[in-house]
Amino acid sequence: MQFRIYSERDVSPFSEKMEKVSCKLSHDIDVIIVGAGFGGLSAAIKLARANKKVIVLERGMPVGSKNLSGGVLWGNDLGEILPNWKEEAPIERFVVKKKLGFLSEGDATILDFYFDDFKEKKTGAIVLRAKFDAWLAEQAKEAGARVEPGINVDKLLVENGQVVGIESNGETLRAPITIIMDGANSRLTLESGFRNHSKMSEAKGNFMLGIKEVLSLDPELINQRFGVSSEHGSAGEYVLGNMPNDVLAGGFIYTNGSSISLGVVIHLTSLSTKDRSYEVYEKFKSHPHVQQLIEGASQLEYGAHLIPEAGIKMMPQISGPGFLVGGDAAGFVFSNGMVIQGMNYAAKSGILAAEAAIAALDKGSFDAKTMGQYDKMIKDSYIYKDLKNFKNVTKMTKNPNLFKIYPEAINNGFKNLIEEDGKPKQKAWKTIMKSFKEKGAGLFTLMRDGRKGMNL
Amino acid sequence: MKFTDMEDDIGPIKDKLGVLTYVTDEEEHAHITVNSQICNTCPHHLCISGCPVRCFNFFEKENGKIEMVFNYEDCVECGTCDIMCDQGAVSWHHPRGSFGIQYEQG
Repeated sequence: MQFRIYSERDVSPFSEKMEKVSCKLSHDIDVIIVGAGFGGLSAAIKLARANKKVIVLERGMPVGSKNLSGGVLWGNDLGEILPNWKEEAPIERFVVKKKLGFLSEGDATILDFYFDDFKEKKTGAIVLRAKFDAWLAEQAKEAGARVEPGINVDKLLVENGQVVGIESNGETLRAPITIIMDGANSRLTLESGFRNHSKMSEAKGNFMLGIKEVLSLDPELINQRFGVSSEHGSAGEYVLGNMPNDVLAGGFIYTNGSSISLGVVIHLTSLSTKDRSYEVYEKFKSHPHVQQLIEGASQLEYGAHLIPEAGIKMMPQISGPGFLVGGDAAGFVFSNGMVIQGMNYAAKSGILAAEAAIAALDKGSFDAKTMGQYDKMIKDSYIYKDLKNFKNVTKMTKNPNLFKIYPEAINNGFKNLIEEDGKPKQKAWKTIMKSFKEKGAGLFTLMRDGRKGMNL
Repeated sequence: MKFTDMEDDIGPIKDKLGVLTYVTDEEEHAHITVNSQICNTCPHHLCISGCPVRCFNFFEKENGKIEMVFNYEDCVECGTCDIMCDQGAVSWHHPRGSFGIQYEQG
């Protein structure tokens, strides 16, 4: 069923809407937050708890309906503001198994890790954003924040070089501080000139495209096929060696409660005129290894989202008079080929933005110097340290050999090792090395790539 | 110039969109518009390669002219086309508040 609703939505002028919401509020808001994702809502909770008047403006209706991610939330940054989130939030499953796979045409080599203490630690939570973010928004409201879905912020309101609020649908809303958490596709930072490029096309190398499908599957089948129990799940990442032309892409499979999140991440610079991003996804989905995991599953949802993978290299100006930037909008995404993390960084940057905003409000100063404290807090945090330590990681994760040579070489190597063909057997490493050579990667290529691999 | 993409089978991808929920705004408020004049001289048409829901298509009009048509109703608002188009043909905005794709899983 396709729903195409041409309805009379509430697109009444922003001021009317605001008046309906609260007569007083629009006159004395402390902080406007743009975007109700992990960053915006974490900031809202922290600010509201400090008795600051905060409003979150979200273009989606309801909250969460524009939000999409691969699905694994690592770490415990939310624990700072919501100590019981792992018990109370709608979490699909906690990761106990981690897979790393190399796929070539028809073949697969899968490393299947099992970490028993992950059951206790609950380090990785598999989530679906529409549900999770709706819950997070409830927590923000409970803390005293206003969360207003269905409002798209068109631009920042700037006076004398200072951000003094926002503009939406021709109406304005003012506050001494605006926190910009408008996501990977941040139009506010782009159009306000906070980025080091003025057009998105100039930043092609900074982004990957994530395509994900959620496939409904019986929980019992999920447990059997992935070797997990009901509350525990598996998170798998794949190097895709079976892609056409020069396409560089990775794949992922995560287990939800009663569905599978299946998807690809594609380096946009690797797509040529001949390629189709949606066919890259289909190619991954049709691999026999994937097929046996998803057999019998039915389509629930298909979606796509940009991933700002360049990290520290693409970090825009993240603070200035009257404003702060965090989450995906700031490029706070970590990728090492094994994992892509962004939600935890968004939450952490939201909490830090709130702390910086609270300090500025208490001081009554919103100039560049005061707001710049946020830069310092980010630089002292693990976000910046992670991004800095891994800033050269794309030398490996964008290395064509990783995709075009290694998966097939690994698979052929192991196949030759295992297959009984009636000929005398060679030592294991010789068989594998031969397979790499046949694919065009001799010892020196391997050594050179090994050095690049040290960036991982 | 060859418009080979006209032979693409876009059925499978359009089938996937059948289970999605959209709140579609009127055409005058289309959030993305494409200047198809520019597409006629574009050397790569990478918009077609990037778009995950295949909103970009060349169609042959009645007068025999081939024109790029952007189908804003199917857009999932990812932003890829604005990155792929380096010719200045794509004018990209978010839909008005509450309109557009509505994920239920995410």
